[in-house]
Amino acid sequence: MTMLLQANELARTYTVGSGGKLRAVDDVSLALARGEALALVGESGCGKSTLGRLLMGFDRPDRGQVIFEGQDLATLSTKAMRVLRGRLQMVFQDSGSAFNPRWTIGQALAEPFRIHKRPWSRQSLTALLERVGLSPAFYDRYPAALSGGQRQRLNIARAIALAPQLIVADEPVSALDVSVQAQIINLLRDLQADLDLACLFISHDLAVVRQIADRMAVMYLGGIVEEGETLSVLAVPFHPYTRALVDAVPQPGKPLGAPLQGDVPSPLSPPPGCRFHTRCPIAQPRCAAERPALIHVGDGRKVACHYPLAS
Amino acid sequence: MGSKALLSLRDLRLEHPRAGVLLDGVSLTLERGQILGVVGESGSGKSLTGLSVLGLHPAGRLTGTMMFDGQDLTHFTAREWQGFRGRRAAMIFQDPMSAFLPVRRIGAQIEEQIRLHLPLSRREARARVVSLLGRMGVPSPERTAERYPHELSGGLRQRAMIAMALSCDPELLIADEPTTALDVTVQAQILVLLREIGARDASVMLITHDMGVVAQSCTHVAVLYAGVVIESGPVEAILKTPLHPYTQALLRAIPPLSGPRPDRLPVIEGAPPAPNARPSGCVFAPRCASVEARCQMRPVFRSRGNHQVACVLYA
Repeated sequence: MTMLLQANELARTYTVGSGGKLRAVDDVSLALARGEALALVGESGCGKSTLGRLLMGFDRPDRGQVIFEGQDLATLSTKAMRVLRGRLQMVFQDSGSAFNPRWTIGQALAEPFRIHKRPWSRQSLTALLERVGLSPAFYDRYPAALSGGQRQRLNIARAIALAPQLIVADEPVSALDVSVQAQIINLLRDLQADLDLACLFISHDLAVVRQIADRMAVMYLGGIVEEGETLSVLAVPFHPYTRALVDAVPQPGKPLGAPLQGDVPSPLSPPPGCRFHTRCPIAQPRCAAERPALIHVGDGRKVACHYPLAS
Repeated sequence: MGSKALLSLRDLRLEHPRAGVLLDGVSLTLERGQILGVVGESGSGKSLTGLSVLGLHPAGRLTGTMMFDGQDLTHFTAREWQGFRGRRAAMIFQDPMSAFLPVRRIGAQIEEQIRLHLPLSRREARARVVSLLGRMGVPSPERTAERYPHELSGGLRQRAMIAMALSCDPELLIADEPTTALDVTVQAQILVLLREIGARDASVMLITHDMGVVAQSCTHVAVLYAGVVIESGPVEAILKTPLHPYTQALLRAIPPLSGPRPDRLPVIEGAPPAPNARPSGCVFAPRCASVEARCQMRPVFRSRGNHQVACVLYA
């Protein structure tokens, strides 16, 4: 099966003020099939948003390549990239800053058509509004008239306007209240099924990820530590970090386990060997010396651990 | 309601001259040793409830009673508030970065608060700071006290802020979304700490939007909707048999982390009312699936078993 999006051994290092090297993404390979929903999960600073930006072509990797529909993003001219953008869209967390407050909602929705020189009509734009559950009456109003949930719907409407093949959504529901969050999750799932849309969700919330993604990849300090089908990874995590993440989610009716100690080490000086060994409850001497590779362990699951948890 | 109640709010109502009615009948009780979760969505008035207890709410007409250990806080003078805040009740916030002054060392800031309220020498105050930071699980407390706020990680800053809040042995700690800005693994550490504090140091009012956080850290919970406490009771009872249709819908809307994955999440249609366009009857009626004619009248908040609930279904 040809993949819609493929990332091969991506690495991106930033030089920070004091001359330090921050390895935001370190040797990450990933593939996304047509119509598939994949989630990138991890805590702040793990590199999930940087990876999302590399996959969108917003930023160039130092090493490795991103291949979208057979084309290497790095080899594309600005013009060719612009054409591709119509098929590759992004939704951000903060829908409040995504819109020009002085443009009407109709103008905001027409913008992608204008940029890509495609025809549109008031009718097609109101149909788009209805598609995401917004009243056509909003067409002549301003973004300020919308609530947070409605603004996120509008954001999604604009992202699907040009019928893209892939949407990258960076924390699309984390700024929303639970009841509104549920509405947006349902909408994203509907759109994904109806439009055969591939989605890459960047999220820290495992319960949300479980609801919207078929597959998930867990990142820690710039690398993927575990990957596999969402329900199976969350039910039986193989990597001790994934286990700790699942256990740390506060849930009704489940006692809180002993939390992981300490903080995530600075990405400016990641630990040698396995990146997680400094906080790992089952670390062995080997973990400090040798970095485990992300290897297949059957059932479409991959894990980067010398001593994966037994199922 | 025994006589042990540390804090008891009755029909607290806050009307802002421009924004409208922000709190509209907040009744809750916090007994000593309890951790009370005050849960609600944005704009439900949960933070305002916490701020009111410290006299820090925005200007407006505040009516009702706020009894704290036998005193009515609503009649406090500015001077009385000064001796109360930080000494008998203290508050921590979501963002510890903005609670500390960026240009002074953590230890010096906590020390200042201690010396403001307690007759201690500088050396005694410093010893207290170090022991407090140690008790809050801060590694090498002497060294950390010499750090500036930006030098600490988010989790450590939150621990330092809790240490500052507890520095004068308050009886009540109000924690407003203390873990919302933290990663899950760090959030779990802070929740464990808050539970220890509830058992050991002070009664806790934990303001949050997250039912999971309530389930794991609180003994009791009060659910707020549009400025009204619509249900309260012990945590297990509320989670197991929520009575109010809003509480039921809120719990259903949380995506599950185990078991079968639902095709669609149940949602609450619509949005909460604006403060200046509130329904005269039950505030949840416009979005409620079990709405009936009686809902045009504001339901009374009454006991039902170990719950208290404001809904005509249980009248």
